[in-house]
Amino acid sequence: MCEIELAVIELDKVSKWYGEVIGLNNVTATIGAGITGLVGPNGAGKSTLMGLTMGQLHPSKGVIRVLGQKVWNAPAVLSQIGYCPEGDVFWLNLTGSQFVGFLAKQSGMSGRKRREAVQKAIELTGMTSYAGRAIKGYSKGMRQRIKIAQALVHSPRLLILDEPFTGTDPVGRHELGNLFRSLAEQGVDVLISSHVLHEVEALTSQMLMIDHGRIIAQGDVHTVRGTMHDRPHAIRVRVDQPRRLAIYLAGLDIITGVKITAPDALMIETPSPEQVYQQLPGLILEKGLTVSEIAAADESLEAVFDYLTRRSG
Amino acid sequence: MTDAPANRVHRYQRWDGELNKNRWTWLAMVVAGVRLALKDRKTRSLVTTITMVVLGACIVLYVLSLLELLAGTEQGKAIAEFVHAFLGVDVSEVSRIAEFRESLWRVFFLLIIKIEMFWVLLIVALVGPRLIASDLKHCALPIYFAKPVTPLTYVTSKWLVVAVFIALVTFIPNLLSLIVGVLITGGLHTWAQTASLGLDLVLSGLSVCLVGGAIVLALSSLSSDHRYVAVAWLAVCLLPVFGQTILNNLLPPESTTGWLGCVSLRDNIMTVTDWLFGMREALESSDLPAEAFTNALLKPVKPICAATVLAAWTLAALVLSYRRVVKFSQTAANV
Amino acid sequence: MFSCNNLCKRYGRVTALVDVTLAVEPGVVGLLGPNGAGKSTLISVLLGQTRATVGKASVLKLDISRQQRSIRRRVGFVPENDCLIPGMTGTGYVYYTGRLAGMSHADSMQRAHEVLDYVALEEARYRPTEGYYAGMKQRLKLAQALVHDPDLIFLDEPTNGMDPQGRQTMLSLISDLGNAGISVLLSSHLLPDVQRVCERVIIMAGGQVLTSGRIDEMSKPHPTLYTVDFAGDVAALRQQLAERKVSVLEHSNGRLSIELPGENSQTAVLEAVRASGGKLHGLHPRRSSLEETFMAAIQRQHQT
Repeated sequence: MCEIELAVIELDKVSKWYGEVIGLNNVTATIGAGITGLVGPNGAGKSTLMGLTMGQLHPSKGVIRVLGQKVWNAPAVLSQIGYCPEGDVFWLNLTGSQFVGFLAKQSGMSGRKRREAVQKAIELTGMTSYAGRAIKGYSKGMRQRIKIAQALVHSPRLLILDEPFTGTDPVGRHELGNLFRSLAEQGVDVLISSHVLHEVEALTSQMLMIDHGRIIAQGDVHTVRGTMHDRPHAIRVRVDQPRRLAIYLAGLDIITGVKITAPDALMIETPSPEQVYQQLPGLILEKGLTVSEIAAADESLEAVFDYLTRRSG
Repeated sequence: MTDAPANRVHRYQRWDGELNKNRWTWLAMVVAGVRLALKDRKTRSLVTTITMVVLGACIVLYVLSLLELLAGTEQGKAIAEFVHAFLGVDVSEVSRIAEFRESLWRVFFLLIIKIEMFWVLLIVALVGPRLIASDLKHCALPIYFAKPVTPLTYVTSKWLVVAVFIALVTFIPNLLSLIVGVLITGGLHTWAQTASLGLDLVLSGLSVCLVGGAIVLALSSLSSDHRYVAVAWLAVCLLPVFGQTILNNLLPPESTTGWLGCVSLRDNIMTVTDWLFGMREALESSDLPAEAFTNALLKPVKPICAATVLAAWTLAALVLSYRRVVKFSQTAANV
Repeated sequence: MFSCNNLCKRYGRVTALVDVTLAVEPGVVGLLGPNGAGKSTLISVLLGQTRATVGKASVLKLDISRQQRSIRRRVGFVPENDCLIPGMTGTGYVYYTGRLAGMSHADSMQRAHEVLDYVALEEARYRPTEGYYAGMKQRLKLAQALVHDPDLIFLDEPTNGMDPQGRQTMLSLISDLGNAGISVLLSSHLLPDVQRVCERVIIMAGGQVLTSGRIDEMSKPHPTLYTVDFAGDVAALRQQLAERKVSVLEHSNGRLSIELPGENSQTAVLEAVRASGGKLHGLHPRRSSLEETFMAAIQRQHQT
């Protein structure tokens, strides 16, 4: 990255409790520019964090800054945030464009400017041909899109998307993913929560993982995986004679386990993967084996998330 | 709190039992329906209240029987005066009570049934609207129609649930109090006198079950919001009563004895019940003080007209509910 | 598990199924397609809920038009919507559906607990279902579909709205069912889920079947196209690769897309890495993911 990282959202020792129930517990985090994925199990505090970021909730303790300013009671900042909520929040009898237009009006736009903004937001989300129809006739995917259009209509600098993919079909997911990427390229910062980790991972490697109201990891997925020293790394090797390779590997002290998982594949367990990556090509060449795949088996967001939530739970 | 306690997966175990041919599915559905309805506090307290009223009815019968036993004594006179003041029925000639016991009881039950029509209105408004509406609201129909349940079984079972509740507030308490009354007065003689009354009570109760159940079922299948259904049910029952009153006042009395007298469901049911009980003939043939019973009888309407109107309503309602359910069973999976 | 012959379904002017002809062997099968592809209609027709306008089909070798009830005794269905009956507890609900399937009181109660154990609904089974969260509702619906031990179950979006752990549990349950010999037709928008548990897929769009077949055949690794994750001197590696006739197609941040000179010449890459002195973090054959297959199929349909 050549540009200077600017904190888009800054949480400083933020806690939020509802009566006796804790929503967020002493969270300090910085969310930078670009797309950031917010992941965590149900009830982990994702919605609380989003609510705080939008100034909908007031932190019980701590300070939260968005785009450098406090958000609570600060319309100037709030007008730069676009939000797509998870649930259905519709006036079902309105048409798509009336709905978006109404919300544009709420954010202070009027006249031709408003009409153009509505049209543009609807076009971006691919809803142009359905904008004249009442929302009650929309499919789930169309409802998601119109909700996103509504979040985009006032050209916000920060987009907060709570489960934007729920209910959309694969084609829709693909298109929405492209939309978010292109927005990010244009300089819009995006905070996106999703239960479907593959999708978040396809959008960004910057993650904020929370569980039980605490941040359990933040930053790049691979960096996070690298810091988990208590977990041996797993490397999958697809090779023509796994048994021969296994015998040889078992003799190395950097390797803590070898398992033959298929007639043409084995899994290596090691605490020091870098050394294995360094030595593996040589070993395979010496033995005259034909390799068809070498891959880290547990560096995906899903694997990392699974480790972390089990540890914290 | 997460979606799964742990990734603990038991091995799936197959089951080697036999499925029966769904002969008793309807019964399971009725039992489940009745139990669900009884979970509602209002429904439970209404049913309890009505049981209390049954006890009250038994007491009245007991008083009548007492009169019979105490005929001629001072005590008997005192009770007779009390009854006269309270019910407006002159029973001073109690020594003759055994002769016209059946008529007296018939009048008594006719009064009770008239009151029960109000309870039916309430209990159906509580139990009926949710029957299909709730399944529609929670999209539960695919559960039924992915299992070997036919629309006919579904409609019948739902209808039986309302029918059970209507029966609980109509002929079941009536029969109970009749039996208690018979036991108190005792003797085979009483049995013989009142057996046909028992049958008439069941028949009149069943007609209420059939008509009320079918109508509320049809209304319930039209909306997914049970509150609308409850309002619609009350409207269907109450508005025609007012309409009939207006008609009766506008038109000459003789023109409202035919079809024009059959607007109100409740009045129709009462007409049919009157006819079942053979009250009019019984009163006309007896030498009882007729003015004592005029309250119990409605304006004369041809029973055949009333019965036809009721049958038409029921048939239309059942056909409508069945067709709606068939339609829902087909669109259970949304397109 | 089922077969259809020229199946058509029209709702007024809308055509939901166009000439669907399929013969699907038992196993765990994914059903994919965009909204309005006809997936739900197909399931509904196979369950005998909707009558096909034209065509024949059979499920578990039973004819859908004549042996509806026999079919429903042997299949289970997990619908997309909540489908709960308010006021019932988890156990009561599963027991009830067992009764609907034609089980006796005792069988139904015993089996209800068995399947609730299976889907890991513990004490929650004694609570009213209204208080369940998304994952529990989905598992309850699965229990309901399994209560009469069907030979085939239809699942419509069973992982919708679940968190990652809940999804994993659901997917492992589905795999386990496949191992226990129960056929599964899994309709889902989440391609990774389908890829993980299904052996075969059917891809539909606009009421037509676009492709169907084994997933591993659809996403066969490409013989000569590879991706290399490399840490070290990239320039040196590129030079070494060039010497060994491996062409680099794309390069960004240590990730190189390469084309080997011929099949089974991966050794060239290893030699190049060793010679360059870097670390080989990954060597992946390019395979078309299910998503690519899906998108390609949909695009082909749009063009015609």
